[in-house]
Amino acid sequence: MINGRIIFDVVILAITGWAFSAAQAFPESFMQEHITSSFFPSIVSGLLMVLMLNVLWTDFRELRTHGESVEKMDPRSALGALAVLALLVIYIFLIEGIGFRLATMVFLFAAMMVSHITLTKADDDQLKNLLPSKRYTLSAALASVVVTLLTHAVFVHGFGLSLY
Amino acid sequence: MSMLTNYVDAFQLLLDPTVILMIAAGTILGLVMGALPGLTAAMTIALLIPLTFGLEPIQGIGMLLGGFVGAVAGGAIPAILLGIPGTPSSVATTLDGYPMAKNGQAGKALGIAISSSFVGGLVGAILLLLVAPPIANFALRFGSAEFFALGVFGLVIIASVSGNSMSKGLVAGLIGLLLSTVGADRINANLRFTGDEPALIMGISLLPALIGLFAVAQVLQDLATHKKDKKELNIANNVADAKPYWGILGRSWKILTSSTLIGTIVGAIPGAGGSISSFMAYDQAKRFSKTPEKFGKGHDEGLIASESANNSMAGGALIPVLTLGVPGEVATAVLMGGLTIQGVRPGPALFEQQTTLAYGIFFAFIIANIFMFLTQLMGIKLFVRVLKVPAKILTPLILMFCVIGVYGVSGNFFELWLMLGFGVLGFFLNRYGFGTAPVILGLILGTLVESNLRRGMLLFDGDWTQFLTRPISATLLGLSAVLLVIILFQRRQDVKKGTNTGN
Repeated sequence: MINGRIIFDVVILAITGWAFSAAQAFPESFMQEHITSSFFPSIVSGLLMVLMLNVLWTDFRELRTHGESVEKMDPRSALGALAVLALLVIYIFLIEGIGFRLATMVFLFAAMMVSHITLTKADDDQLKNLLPSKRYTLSAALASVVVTLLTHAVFVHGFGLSLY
Repeated sequence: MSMLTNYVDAFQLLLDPTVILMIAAGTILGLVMGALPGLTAAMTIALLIPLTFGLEPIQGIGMLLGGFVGAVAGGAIPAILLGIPGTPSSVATTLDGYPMAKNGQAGKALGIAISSSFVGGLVGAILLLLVAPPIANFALRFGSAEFFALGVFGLVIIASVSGNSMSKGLVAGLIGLLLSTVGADRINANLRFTGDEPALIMGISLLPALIGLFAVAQVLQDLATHKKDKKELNIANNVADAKPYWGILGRSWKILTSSTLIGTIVGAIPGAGGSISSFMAYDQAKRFSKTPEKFGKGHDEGLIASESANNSMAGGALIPVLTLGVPGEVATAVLMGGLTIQGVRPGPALFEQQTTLAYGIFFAFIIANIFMFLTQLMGIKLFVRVLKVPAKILTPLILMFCVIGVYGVSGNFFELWLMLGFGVLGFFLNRYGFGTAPVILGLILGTLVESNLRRGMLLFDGDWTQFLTRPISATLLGLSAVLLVIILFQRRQDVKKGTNTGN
């Protein structure tokens, strides 16, 4: 029985296993130490592995007996969260490429559109019922520009941050 | 320098109008964020941290404290008007606040909540001012063994902030501890888990971790689990009579006094937190009330108990943070991160090395409470309107502030990826019941525990029994064991009752 919970447990367990083996290879200290650099990470990752195995076993048993207890995500909401995450990734790349101001304008507009589709109440989930109106689209475009310029001015000139 | 001189110097620090302005700004932003269901006090502080970078330490700290006080108090607004607690500490407020609003007494309920919050917050702040310096003075005797024991004491809190599953909470705490070992080793500068990334040499920055775990993860969770049958704000609710009800508070002075004391004491106990203090005060008030049957149906006394307790809790919760450098719960853990980023090192040394600043924090906290009271009274209609801001507008704005917070401060793209990684990790940790609070506690306390353990072993020439035989460290380790037993017992009771106050 494979589901998100089990996959997450296994991923954490695998990372922990890697951390444990990496900790064994930390170089020895040049000075006489009773506790070396690898002691604490080894203990922590070792404990983490034992506990994760317990969690994995408990989750697996629970899934078999009671089924998934975590509420299933509504497909539209799940897609919305994934789309916003993808937008964040693009946003970070864009900042590096075209600078903060342009990237923020693009991100805000796109995220407002995606959030509208994800969070709007509708009797059925047909895309035509969820698409933003022309008025919302224009307001979102205007808000993206105004908010970006205002925020940039406040943070750069008011709080002294560097936003390029 | 006498204590009086410290107070005078600190007070003078607060006379700077910019400091007052920053405290006011933090309080207003805190109230706005606290009023929005889903935005917790921890998230509020995490989002405020970037704003404080260009500021002087006392200005930045004032803003963070204002945000903390505002967020705790602001949670009462949706609790009363929508029956949805804005923050976990205002859960008990819904029990009587919401029925009052449904009975057409929304304004009165808000007025009682505001005045109770003010009294609770102010008393908590005064107790903090009186109690913290002697505790810090005592803690100046601490060496490596004592700080190690203190770190262990702090780690025990992980057991109490874990959600339904203790083992999952411990896993999250250990993830934080493991992450705290990333970077150059504090004792001999060996590089650990850094790969080829220079940004990791100094360890994992707290800011991307805080913003990722508490803001990005929360936004993703809200999007993924969005309920389409959300409660709507009844705009017919009349909030015009939201004014102080000193008469009602005066008649309930016994409840007010006991709840405020419960809030401060419970707040000061690491691991207890706001929701426990307000529920304990509520329960106590009901037990000793002449009209217990009215509780849960819109009773003034229930509202007074809950709101005075959760606001006095804030003052109590600052005691272990400022004096020992050990955060007792999530919001103060984030606040401690913010203080550290501001160059303040919470703990006993704070009172010795940054005396004026330490005492300035007390006054800033008192001023924040006064602002919280005045701002709510004057702008309650505005804060009620905040509840009507659609999530589809709010979500992109929060994410933009997250990016500004991390990128604007460090200018480092790696930290933006780190924030994103923590956001995704936090989303799954929350979804599968591990929780994010233990990760932050582990990340903050890990360095304290490891470096003091190793330093101690060097000092004691490998004799680990010194950790158990030195009086203060032995007492702290003993207390950790007792606290752990109490927490385990409480969790057992909660499981039996079918309730859990963990997160």
